Amino acid sequence: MTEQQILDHISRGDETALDYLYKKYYPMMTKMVLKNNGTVEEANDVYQDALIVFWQKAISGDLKITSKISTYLYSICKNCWLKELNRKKRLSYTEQEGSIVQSDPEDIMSKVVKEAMEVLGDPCKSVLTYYYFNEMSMSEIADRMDYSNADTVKAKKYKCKKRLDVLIKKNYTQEDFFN
Amino acid sequence: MKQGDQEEAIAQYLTQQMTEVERSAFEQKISESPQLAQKIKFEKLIAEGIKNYKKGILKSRLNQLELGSSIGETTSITTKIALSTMTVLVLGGLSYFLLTPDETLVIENQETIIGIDVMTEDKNANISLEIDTTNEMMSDKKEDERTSSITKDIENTRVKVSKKQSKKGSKSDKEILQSEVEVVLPYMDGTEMSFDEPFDSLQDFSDDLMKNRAQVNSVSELEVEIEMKKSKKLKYIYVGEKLILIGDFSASPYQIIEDNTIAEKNLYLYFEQEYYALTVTSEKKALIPVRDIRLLDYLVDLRNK
Repeated sequence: MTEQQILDHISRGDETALDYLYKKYYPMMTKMVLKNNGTVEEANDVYQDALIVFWQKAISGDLKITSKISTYLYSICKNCWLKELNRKKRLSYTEQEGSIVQSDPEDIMSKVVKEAMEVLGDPCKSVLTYYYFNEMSMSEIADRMDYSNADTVKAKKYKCKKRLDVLIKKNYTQEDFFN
Repeated sequence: MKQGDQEEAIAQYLTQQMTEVERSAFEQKISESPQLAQKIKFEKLIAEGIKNYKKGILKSRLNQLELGSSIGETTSITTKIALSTMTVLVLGGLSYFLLTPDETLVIENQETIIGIDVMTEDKNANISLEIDTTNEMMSDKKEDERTSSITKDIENTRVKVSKKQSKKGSKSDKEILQSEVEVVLPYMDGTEMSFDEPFDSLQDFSDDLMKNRAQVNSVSELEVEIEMKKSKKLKYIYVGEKLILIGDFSASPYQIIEDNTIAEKNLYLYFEQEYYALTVTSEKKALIPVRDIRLLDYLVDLRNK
């Protein structure tokens, strides 16, 4: 399969292309982490994160790739691993200093959103992830989900987001995250 | 600004869907309103939460993948050799069935295979099987070359096997061996496939192809009929040797792809950049595009040839 064919599959949201890339470059990418003091778990984690970053960029049309996919993916992997090493270093320093590590608001919100998303039905999950993760336009979502037009999607997205907000605000307020 | 409009504007701002002008106007508003700034911060957290939710789904998908059979770019030569050897075993099995027992091909001292190429040609009633094997070893010793050839008629089928093996000494650290198999079957439908698919990335799918790749003609001809309808939804009926396509097929030409193998016959439709698998059905069935990336890849290859 050519690189262009892979990118075409990704732009259509074909997740088997993600599987294909994951398998294809798994040894190459994880080796880099393993050779730089990472564990197998960390290597897997970093490679998956990097691949998802690549996937999201490609699917949202933000990707302007001038090199081979493997080269690009490798550089994302490397950055992810450096970021993780820095995080570990900071964490170890904080632990030595005896400071209390506060939970990250993003982590808390991710848990809250995950629970709320599970309560929403499949169409809402799809509309919201297509909009926020894939950054697809209303008309693209309409095509993908077989809705009659962009306005229908817009109304659907509004309703789904409202339902999500209600579920989140059941237990949390805006202030809980910032005070 | 209405509540709904403001929320829509925030969503557009967070998903980079505003134009430059809209963006700077909106940022001006944010700078003037701490409440709006706080709200955007909160909405940003929710948007990140949705993204992380999808990331979590994708990660669990990846975690479930079997990596044991995956062969990456850095696959060692040993693995490639093993895969290639398996391929030869499959081809050996094929030749066993095509030859009578006393003519079964024996390949001596075969150790490594790097490339295999199978092609079909000729539409006459002959089968010709040629295996060309070269084994090279780096050495200073003299070259020893042997060539063998077998030709046999089986019913209306001519089978020809030729083997060439060249050896150079034993102090080797690099081995190259090439095999070439040519199969010409009684009647071909025009579709042709190659064995140049990389073994390292599509191993399991390639194995399926190996088993079935030698093509045989399915004999009967397909009758295609179109029932024009203005509806966008495409349907079909496929029964016996008759295929009825229902829908608006007027916009562009379509192609029927017959994939005939020893094991089975598969029918596909190519229409407006999409491939559809056609299964036998006497009821109207919706045409659903093929999404399996490996099958698509295979069909693209098949169609291009």
